[in-house]
Amino acid sequence: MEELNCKTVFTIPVFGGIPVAESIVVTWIIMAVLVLLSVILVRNLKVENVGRKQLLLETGISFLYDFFYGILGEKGKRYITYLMTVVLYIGIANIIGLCGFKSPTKDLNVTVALAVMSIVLIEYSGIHAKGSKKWLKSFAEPIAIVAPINVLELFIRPLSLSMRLFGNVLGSFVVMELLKIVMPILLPIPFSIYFDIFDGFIQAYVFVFLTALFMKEKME
Amino acid sequence: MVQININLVFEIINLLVLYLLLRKFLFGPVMNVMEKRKAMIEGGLKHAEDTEKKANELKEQYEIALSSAKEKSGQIVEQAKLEAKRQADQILADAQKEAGQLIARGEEAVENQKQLAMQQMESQVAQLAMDAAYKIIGQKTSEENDLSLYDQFIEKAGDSHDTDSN
Repeated sequence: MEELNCKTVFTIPVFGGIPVAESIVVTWIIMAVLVLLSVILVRNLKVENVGRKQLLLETGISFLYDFFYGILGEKGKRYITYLMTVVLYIGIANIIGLCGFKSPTKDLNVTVALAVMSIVLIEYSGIHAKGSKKWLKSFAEPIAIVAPINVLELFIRPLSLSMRLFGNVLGSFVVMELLKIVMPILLPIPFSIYFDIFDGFIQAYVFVFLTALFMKEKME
Repeated sequence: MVQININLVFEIINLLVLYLLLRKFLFGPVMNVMEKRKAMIEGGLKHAEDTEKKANELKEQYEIALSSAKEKSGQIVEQAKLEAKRQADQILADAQKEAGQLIARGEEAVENQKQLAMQQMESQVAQLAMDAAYKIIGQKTSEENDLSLYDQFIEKAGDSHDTDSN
């Protein structure tokens, strides 16, 4: 059970000590890796005669871009970069447990932060696309009586987003730990492929897919 | 285990920083390059389209020029044919005229010959008549006789003629 807790790595000695959790430190590591990789990969980009490295990079990014563009369309083009950042971050955060780090997404603070960002972005996209008056009116659609439910959605959506991600990662971690207790050799391999890798990417995909879908809904 | 604390804020800051960093170092440059390539390809396509359009225009022009040239050459040939026909007709007419002239001249010559022959024949007939007269008279004496006879003949004939007229 010790492993499930998110330990405080260190405490900032101001205001009576601010605890910095492990998940935040791992997030810093992920950020450093992502930025370092981008700096290395993005060097010497060429318009013509691209190398294999650039081809792979462009294929990956245009795949993500086209995926989000297909959902959001021309109006939501400006949010694609953020969504791509989030999918990269969650994808890496979910599988970084394989490298011996503790997945940041196993900390509720991280998934809640992601979900809060998502709901802010969802509502912001609605306001930006329609103007605040129409955005407010959209809560009373299709009829006024559903307005409370629509307002409730403001909280349900981030809650379901964050809990889904948190629960999946935590659950798969627990299952893997139990399997390791039952039989430490060979048996965990196929399960690890499913729970750590496949489920990790699926959850990253689901998270950004739903965020994009809600944004699309709000923008219409 | 499940608690929300200040780390939520840290995570949000982390995400924003990561977003800005990745936009600056990863998505920005890559999208920029892709955008540039897209623009280049579009430019190339547009250029190709323009060139094709121009080529088509030129082709049309050439076709028009070609067809007009064909028409013109046809006209020239037609004109040449007409000219040739006209010349041939002219030559034929000239030849006919000349031939007619030649025939007329020939006929004239023949007529002259005939006249000449007639005159000769007349004189010969006179001789013949004279000879016949000699034969009838039965003698052929001399030149003087001849002349006297002739005179006599003329005289008689003239007399008779005179008497007739009288």
